[in-house]
Order: sequence, then C-alpha cells, then structure tokens
Amino acid sequence: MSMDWLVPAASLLPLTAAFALLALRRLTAQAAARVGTLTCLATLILAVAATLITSDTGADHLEVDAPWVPALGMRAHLGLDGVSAPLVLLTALLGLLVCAHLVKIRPATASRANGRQLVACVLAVTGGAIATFTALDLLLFFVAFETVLIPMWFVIAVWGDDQQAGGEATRRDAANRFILYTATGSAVMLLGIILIALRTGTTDLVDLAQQGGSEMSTGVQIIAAVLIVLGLAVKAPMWPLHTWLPPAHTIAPTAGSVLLAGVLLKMGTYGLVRVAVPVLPEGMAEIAPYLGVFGVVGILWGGLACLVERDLKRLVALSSVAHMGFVLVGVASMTPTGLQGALFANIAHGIVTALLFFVVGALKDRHHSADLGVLGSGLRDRLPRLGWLLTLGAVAGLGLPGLAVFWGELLAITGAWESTVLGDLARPLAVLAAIGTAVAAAYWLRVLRVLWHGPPDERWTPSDLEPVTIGDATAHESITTAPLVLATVALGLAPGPLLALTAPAVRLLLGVEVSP
Amino acid sequence: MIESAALLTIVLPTVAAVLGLVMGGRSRPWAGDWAVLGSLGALIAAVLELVQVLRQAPVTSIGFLGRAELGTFSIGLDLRADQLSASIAVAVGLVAFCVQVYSTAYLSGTGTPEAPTRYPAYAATVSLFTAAMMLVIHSADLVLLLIGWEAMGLASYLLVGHHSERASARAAAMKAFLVTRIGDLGVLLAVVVLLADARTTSIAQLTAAATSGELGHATLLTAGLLLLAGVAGKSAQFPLHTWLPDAMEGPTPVSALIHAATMVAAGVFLVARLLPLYLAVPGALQVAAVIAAISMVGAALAAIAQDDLKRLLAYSTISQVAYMLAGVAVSSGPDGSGPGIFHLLSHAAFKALLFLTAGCVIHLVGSTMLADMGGLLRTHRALAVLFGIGLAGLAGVPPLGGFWSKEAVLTAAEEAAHAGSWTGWVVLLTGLGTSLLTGIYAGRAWSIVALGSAAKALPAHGDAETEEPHETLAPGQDAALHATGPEHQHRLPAAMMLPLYLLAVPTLGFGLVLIDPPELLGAVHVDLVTGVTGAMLSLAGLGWALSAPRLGAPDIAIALPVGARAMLRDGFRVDAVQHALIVRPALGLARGVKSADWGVIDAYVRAIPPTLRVGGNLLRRAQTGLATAYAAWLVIGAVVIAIAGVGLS
Amino acid sequence: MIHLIGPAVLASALAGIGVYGLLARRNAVLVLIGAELLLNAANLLLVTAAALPAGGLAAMPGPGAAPPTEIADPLLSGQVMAIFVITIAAAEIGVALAIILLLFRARQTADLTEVGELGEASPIGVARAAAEQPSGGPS
Repeated sequence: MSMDWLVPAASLLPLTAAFALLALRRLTAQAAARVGTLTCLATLILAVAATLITSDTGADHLEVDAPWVPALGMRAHLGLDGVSAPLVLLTALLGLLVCAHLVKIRPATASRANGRQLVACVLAVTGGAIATFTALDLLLFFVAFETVLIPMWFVIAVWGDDQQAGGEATRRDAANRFILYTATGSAVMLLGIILIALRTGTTDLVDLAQQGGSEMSTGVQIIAAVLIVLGLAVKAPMWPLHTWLPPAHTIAPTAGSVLLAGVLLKMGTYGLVRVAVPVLPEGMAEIAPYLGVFGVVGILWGGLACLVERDLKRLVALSSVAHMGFVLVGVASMTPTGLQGALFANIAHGIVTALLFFVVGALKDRHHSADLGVLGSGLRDRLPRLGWLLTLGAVAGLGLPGLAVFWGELLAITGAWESTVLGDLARPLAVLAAIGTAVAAAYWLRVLRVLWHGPPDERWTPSDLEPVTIGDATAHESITTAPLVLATVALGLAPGPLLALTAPAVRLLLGVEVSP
Repeated sequence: MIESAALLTIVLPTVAAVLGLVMGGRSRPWAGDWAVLGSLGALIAAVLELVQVLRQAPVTSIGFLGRAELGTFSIGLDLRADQLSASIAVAVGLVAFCVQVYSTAYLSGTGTPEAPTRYPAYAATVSLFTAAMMLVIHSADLVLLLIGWEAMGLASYLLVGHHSERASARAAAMKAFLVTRIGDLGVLLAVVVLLADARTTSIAQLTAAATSGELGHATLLTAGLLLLAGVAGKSAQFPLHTWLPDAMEGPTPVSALIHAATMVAAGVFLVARLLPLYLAVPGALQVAAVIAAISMVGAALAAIAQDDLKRLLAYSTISQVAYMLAGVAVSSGPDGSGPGIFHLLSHAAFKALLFLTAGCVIHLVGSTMLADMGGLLRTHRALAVLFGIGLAGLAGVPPLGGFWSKEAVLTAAEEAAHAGSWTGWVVLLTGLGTSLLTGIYAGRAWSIVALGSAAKALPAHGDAETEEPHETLAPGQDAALHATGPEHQHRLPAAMMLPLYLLAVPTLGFGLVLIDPPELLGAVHVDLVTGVTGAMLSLAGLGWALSAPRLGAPDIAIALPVGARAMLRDGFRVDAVQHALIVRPALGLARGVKSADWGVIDAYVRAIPPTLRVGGNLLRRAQTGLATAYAAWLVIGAVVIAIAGVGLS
Repeated sequence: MIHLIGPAVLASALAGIGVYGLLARRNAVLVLIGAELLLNAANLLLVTAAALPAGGLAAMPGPGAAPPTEIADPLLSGQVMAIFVITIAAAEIGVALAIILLLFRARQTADLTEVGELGEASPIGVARAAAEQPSGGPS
C-alpha cells in the first residue's frame, strides 16, 4: 500500500486544525491548546512514519504530484527525502512543544486577544512550514513560504511583549520590521523564481535539479542565484540583513520565539540547499565566496555583539545570527561535507535555540524582564532546574563536542576548508569560523557567570521583609523541555542516524558519488 | 573481555553521573554512593583491562557510538584498548576513586546558605569528568577523543567554579574554559585538516598513513602543530598555562584529580598516542620540546616564589607535565613515548597525594596561604610524613617512583642529545636545571608547612569560616566530627586519611615496575650518570631549602629581591600580557560591533521610512489638480516614448 | 498614388493643433476637442501606414504610377486600429462630455483652472481651503 498520502497529510492536518480553531468560537484558550497539542502529536506521528519509510526504502521517496493550477502549469508536487525529513520532524516536534507549553502558560501581554487564536496561528505556522519543507514545486514552495509570514506577524503584533521600553510602538515596530523585511526578501526571491521558470519552462524542483542548470547560461544563473539567495538570506538571516531578528525575538512571546528560531529561520537555509544549490550550481559557485564571507562575518559579528548584550532574549537572537552563519558557510562550501554540516547545524540550532527560548521565557515570566541585570545572579542555587537547563543550553550553544551543535560546526568548517568554489578564501574562512566558536564560548560563559554563578540575588530571594515567591521549573515546564534536552544530547553523542539520513540526499543534490 | 572492560570504564562513571544528578538530587547519601561506586567500578574495570592487555594483543576497534557519514566518506566513533590506555585508565580510576572517597568527607554536610557544598552536583560532575577522561584515553578516533576532551573541559569549568559565590572562582572558571578552548581551536582545526586531506580521523589509519608517507608533509605538519596548541591548552604549557594556577579556586580534591593528576596529562597522552604521526614531522616535535623546556623552567621558577600552597603545587604541575611532554618530544622511535608516560603515571600518584594532603592541611588551617601554615610535623605527624613522601616524589628523591620516572626522561633526552638532536640538549640541560629548582621549591614547601615556626597556631574550632568559606564544615558535621571533645578536634576523618595511604604506595614503589616492564615502558631505562647527576641536583636544592630555617626564616624565597619575587609570584606577568593583547581588544571590538549594529547597519534600515516619506512628498507636488498640467505630462511622456522608440529601433 | 508627404503633414498639423488645444485652452470643451484632434492625427497616420506597399517606403511607387499589388500589411491592421480608435474616442467623448456637463451644473463654469481641489497642495486647492476654513487645517 502506498503511503504517499502521509506527506500532504502532515501539512494539511495542522492547517485544517488552525481553520477549525478559528471557527470554533466557544473553545477556551486552554482547550484550544489541548486540541493543538493533539493535532501536532498526530502530525509528529505522521512525520515519524513518513521519515521511517523514507529512510527504509532508500531510493523511493514518498511523493505526491497532482495538477493544481493547470493554466499556470502549477502542480501540487510534494515529497519527503533526507533533506526535508529532519526539518519536518523538527517542525512537528516544536509545534507540539509550543502547543503543550500554551496549555498552561499564557503570554504575559495585556492584550485582550484570545489564546485560541494564538494556538491557531501556531498551527498555521507549523502546517505552512511543513508544506514549505515538502514542496517540490518552486511556486508551491513560494506560496507555502509566504503562508507562514502572516500568522507569525499576528503572533508578534498581537501577543508580543508590550512591557518593553516604548511599549506598543516597540511591539508594532518589531512586527512590522519582521513582515516588511521578509516580504521584501520574498519579492526579490519571486523575481528569481520567475526568471528560472521563464528560462527553463518548468517550476518543478525535481526536473530543475536534474537539469542542473543546463538550460540556463551562467549569466542567467548568476542573476537568478543572486535574487534567490538575497530573498532567502533575509530569512536565514545573513549578515547584514539580520536586524529584524533581535527585535522580533525580543518582543515575540515564548511560543513565537521558539517557532521563529526553530522553524522560520530554517526555511531560509533549507531553500538555499533545496533550490539554490541544485538548480543553479554555476550561479551559486560564482556567488559562494560572497555568501561564505557574509556567513563568517555573521558568525563573528553575532558573537561579538553577544559579548556586550544585556538582554538575554536579544542575546539568544544574536547568537542565532552566529549559528546561522555556520549554516551559510556550509552551504557556500558547496561540498557534500559542508552541506551535511549545514543541514545538521540547522536541526541542532533549532533544538538548542528552542530550548534556550523556553528557558529564557520561563525566566522572563518569573522576573518580568530578560535583562541580565534584573535577572540577577545565583540561578544555580535559586532556581536549580532552570539554572541547569540554561547551562545545558549555553554549553550546547557554544558548540561543546558531544552536544548537537558541535557536529554542524565541525562539518561546516571542514566543508569550507576543502571547498574549491571558495578559492583562496576557503582556509581563512574556515579558520575565522573556528575562532567564532571561541567567541561563542566567551559570551555564553559570560552569561553563566552573571546569571548561573554568584551568590543568590537578594532581590529575588525571600526575606523577612519581602517574601518573593519565584518557583523553579514546574513539572509542566520540565516535561516540555525534556525532549529538547534529550535531542541535544542524543544528536551530539550519536550523530550517525541523522547524518545517514541526509548523506544520500546531499550527494544526490550535488551529483557526487561515494568515495571509496 | 577487553572490549567490555574498556566500555565499562566509560559507561560506569557516566551512569554514576546521571544517577547522581537524577536520583541524588535531593538525597545526599545516594549521590555519594553512586559517585564512589561508579569510580570504584571504573577502577576495577580498568585493572581488568590492564591485566588483559598485558597478556593479549591490543584491540584497535570497539564499536561505541556508531559511524557518522560525512558527505562522501564516514568515520567510526570507536574505542580501542591497549597498554597505553589501560595503564592510564588505572591511574585515572585510582585517583578518581581516592578523590571520591576523600570528597565524601571533605565536602560533607550541606554547608551554609552563603556557601553551600552542593555535594550531589559536585560528585556527579567528578563522575562525568572520570567518564570523559576514560573516553579520551580509549578513543580510537580523533573526533571521539575531542568529545571526551571538551567534556573534561566542561567538568573542569563546573568544578573550578564550584564555589561560584566567590568572584575569584567565577573568574577562574571562565578563564580555565576560555584559555583551553582557544587551545582546542587547534584540535578542532587539526581534525578539520585531517578530515579534508586524509578523509579519516581514525588514529590507527592516520598513524599508518603517516608512517607509510601517504599523507603530505604539509598536512601532517599543519595538523601536528595545530594539535600542539590543544596540548598546550589542556596540559597548561606555555603560553596557554595561565589558567592552571587560577584554577586552584576549585575544591582541593578536584585540583588533585583534574588539575594535577589526570586532565592536564591528557595533552601529553595525545602526543604519545599520535607519536607515529609526529615522528613523520620532526619540526612539530621540536616545537613541543621547546614549549616544554620553557614551561619546565619558567613554572619551576614561579613555584619558588608562590605564597599560596595550591598555586605552588599548580606551578609544579606545569613544570612536571613539561617533563612528560619533553620526554615524549625527544623520542626517536615509535616506542619512544615510554619515559614520558612513565613519568605521567608516577606523577599522577605523587601529585594526587600532594594535593590531597594539602587539602587536609587547608582543612585544618582554614586557609591556603603558606604564611598561615607551619609546624605540621609536631601536630599531625602522619599527615606531615605523607606530605613529605609526596614532596620527595616530586623532587625525585631516590628510590621513589618520581626519581625513576624523571631520570628516565632525562636519560631519553641525553640519548637524543648524543644522537645529535639539539632538542635533546635543550631538554637535558633545562631538565637538570629544573631538578635543582624542583628540589628548592619542594624543600621550601616542606620547611614552611611541616617544620616552620608554627607562629600562627592552628585555629580553634569555629575560627575557620572567615577565610575559606567552602572549606568549613557545616555545624552538624562539625559536631559529629568533634563529638569526642576538644582534645580530638584536629583529627581528620578516615575517609580523608585512607586515600592518602593508598596513594602513598605507588608514590613510594612505582619504580618497581621497571623490574619487569611491560611493552609500553620497554624503552624506559635510567642511565647511571644522568640519574646520579639529576638526583644530586635535586637533593642539593632540597638541602638548600631545608637549611633555610636554620638561617633564620623558614621561607627561602625571601632571599630573592623584592621585584624579582613579585615577578615570579605573578608568573612572569603572562596574564597581564594576554589580557592586554586578547581580552581588551576583543571587548573593544565587541562594543564597536554593538554600536555598528545599531548605528550603521540598522541605520540604513531605519532610514527607509523617512526616505520614502521625503520621496512621497516630492511626488505629491506633481498632483497639481490642473487638468492641463496632467495633459502636459502626458504629451511630454508621449514625446519621450516616441524619441526612445525611434532611437532604439 | 499620392505622395506620402500629404497625409504626414496633415497629421502633424492636426497633432500640433490638438496639443495646443489640450495645453493652452482653459475651457473643458475646447480641451476635449484638442484631444479629439490628437486622436484623429493618429488615425490618419494609421490609415496611411496601412496602405504602404510591401517593402516599405523604399518600394513606394512614384507619383502617377500604378498602385502596388501587394501591401505591407495584408491584414490591414492599421485600418482596424483606426476603427478601434474611433470607437474608443466616441465612448470617451460621451463620458467626458457627461463629466463636463456635471461640472458646469455644479460650478457654472467649464474653466479647468477653477477646479483643482483634488490636486495635492495645488495653489488653487490650498487657497480655496484656506478661504473656506480659515481656522481648520487640512483634515
């Protein structure tokens, strides 16, 4: 029996549930979150089943191909392979955790907006992202890519933090920045997609990858690659197009930050691997050095900015810029190792940053601020569980070998070192990227030194005069973060399964064979 | 059998760490039991492994974490077990077991709210460290080794910062991790180079490729030098040694295990493990020898002027690890790592003994400063004798283990020198010089701590908490300890004394191994002339320092000029140089980046709305409301299009 | 066959008068007539071009010679376009005259310079707004 239906079902299920939640006006926010949790759980089960089938059968991937808009030649072509399967799993998992998180924890906003609609937005983002990751048609990819933006805008603009300096205006600014930045990027990307479609006469990614750019001259490929990479780089985000990210993360509620970091950023880098590299190989080879340089600048820039950043949420966001820099370097290397590293770093960043945002969100809920000075010292004694979770996130974030992020960084640096398309820049870029890991260690240790270490801050410890009641991580919080903790350690100690899943797909995308 | 023993050395402490954290979180006895049992299990497994590998051939591939496909090739995250790994595993297991037992008493109680002992987390971290070290020495693959290598760094960070309520401990922890991390960039890049050029990180395949000449000289030299950076970081060798003296902020048992006996020796182990690779590029070994020579003399000089017992021992560690590195660096054949490893093993015993006795002294005195100590021989004779045995091992007094291992290193250097290697001469001369210096600072420590004038009496019960909050006992524990009355108030618990006796045995008798040396130590022998010269030099140093009290002051360092003494005490001010060259520029750059992020990059973004507004206002001017004006624009547009059409066609 | 110069000069003249009417006249009806003249100039050129022989201007027979057997545009798209233009012009004039009538009913004038309220910051609009609401600013 063909199991191809699993692929569209994984994206349609959350999308349908999102619309259903919007229609069900009677539902309370908590019930809606429960429905969302169940939906995402079902989606995750579908995704796991689809992934197992994909990795078992090897060559025969799950695929659905049906006409959609015949007049435009658009087809609903969806498929799952080694590149998309891990991201689909990640998206479903994060959707599940975010919905489970919303069952007990409400965003701390004064807005009257309904929690039910927030769950609907989360489900829409989840479904749209899964559709993006499974789309095998350029136009479908673009449509799904855009679908995710609108609910995310609502999440930031409606449920965002209005306690920051500037209040409502700051929140609007962050949401509008997010939507305008990414929409502009998307418009540029659409131009590139149209150029490809006009020159090749098809928008099917499988056909395009098989052609490998043979229908387009190098000049056209370069133009198309610049347009598409620019569009995707905004989402990634690539330095210097990153300034939308810190405000968006700072303002967004925990649910939004987790989805933003774990899912939305991945769409940009996924697009690079899925579209830019196989469809426009010659164009990418020409612009790869620029991509690599921007990626490395992002690594160092983000890391150095983190060294003096005071707001913990902003700091995690800036560290994302650095992490995504490694992904960009891996893609720019255009080597199987580098691409493997990019995909691994993608997943690892999604897991670790989601964990960090859950922890930082919990800290922010308790202290009503994410400022390092306000949070205060001595977490290891005041809030041991949250303290250890923060420590684990931090040491994972600094790329400690044995935890997930390390493998992505190692492979991306290796890819850059041996890359031919980067030319003379290859080795300097690899060395600078490696130095970025030391900078990462410096800023995370600074955070731990200020927050985790030190005597318990007296403002937050109960005294005779003023009993402050700040509880450690609840069982609910521990359970929602436990899968991320386990995944961080498991991916770090046993990277084999994930690497084995992506390796054949990456070789196929680059058209290389296994070396003896 | 070998396979399971090797696996168990890693798995048992890991399980102990996890159980200690999960189940021991609340209950203190459980945490202690898990930790002690885990290290005991690791020790037994390591002994079993050693017994097996002494009889059988080594096992070069034990499946552990599976294979990782990296693009077009794959690496196997496997383990190996041979005499090198098994012998170091026994040393690690022994010291870890002693430290775990010792710590149950040393960090007893729950402490005060201002200075909690945090024993469950501590014990679990020490278990984690043991597992990581076992992983390093059993790795058959460089990437797997790197995992253990950095996990050790993490455990070291957590333990140095264990008493994080003290600002100095926080700073020291961060410094320890960052400095070693900078060195580890070298290991990371070496792995990258080897992955890119050799397509493997398996140690067996790499050494085979290096000896057969399959790998290019440039690749090997790059990888070898990069690895040396990691070695210098982890083994606290010049110029990345500055973290080790500061790391003494950690609890003393941790200093014994991590920062003296085991982790700092990991760098030497790495060079020994990859010796065939290094032999293919003598340049890298020469660099290692020079680094070792500088560290050896420099650290010994700095040790003479230290006024803190733990810092003195830390500098002595740098100096002794440099002996090991030098011993490996002067080797000329694949079995040449013997003397260095021999010294590593004997150093593990006597340095752990020294630190644990120092811990007892600190526990009694309530301070780590030498100025507060004195007269130990009169008050605690057994402890003083044990301390003396440790110092004698450190100084290389025959016939202790430390004598045989140090003279073996010097003999190897002498043979290299006679074979025409300049590094042999450098190591031999600095090694002999350092023997003298070692004698001086070992004698100085003895004369201050054991003899001394006891000017400051050992403080009475209750006085201790002001100086060293973490060393104090909790009130409840104190009561239990001193229940028998004031006359027994300075008796140390058995859990702290027994490990000392256990460690004193190898310190005294490790030389007996040379009667029937295993294959690993096959090349180890001691040349009579060199041995006697070295022993004479260190005895001379010892005697000189011990004679100081008769000349008026127990501390021979006061004979130094004040400026020189301060210079030596600050470790030649390498710290200040590093701060000026790296830390301050990096922070300045970070501030620049932060302001540029807002002031330059984001400025363009923020400039977009005003630009649009200005542009819109300009374009609004065209909307005059005069139909004729619009018509005029229409005509002008038509004319422009017509001209353009004619011109372009 | 007449020379090409005739229709070309006539079309230019019509266009010139049309532009003059469009730009210089203030009365809306006269402006509309100017626009119509422009359209007819274009029509004239379209019909003329449709009659060009195959081979373009170079194949043009001299004055008095027999008309060419093949023309450049066998589908006569020039003439078709002219009919399109006439149709659209008729529709346009209907709408335009209706607007002018409504304007005249409302304002008792057909002078275009008097009706600039829709303009952005136009001298007339601003002046009139200021005259009508001395106190209020632009809403």
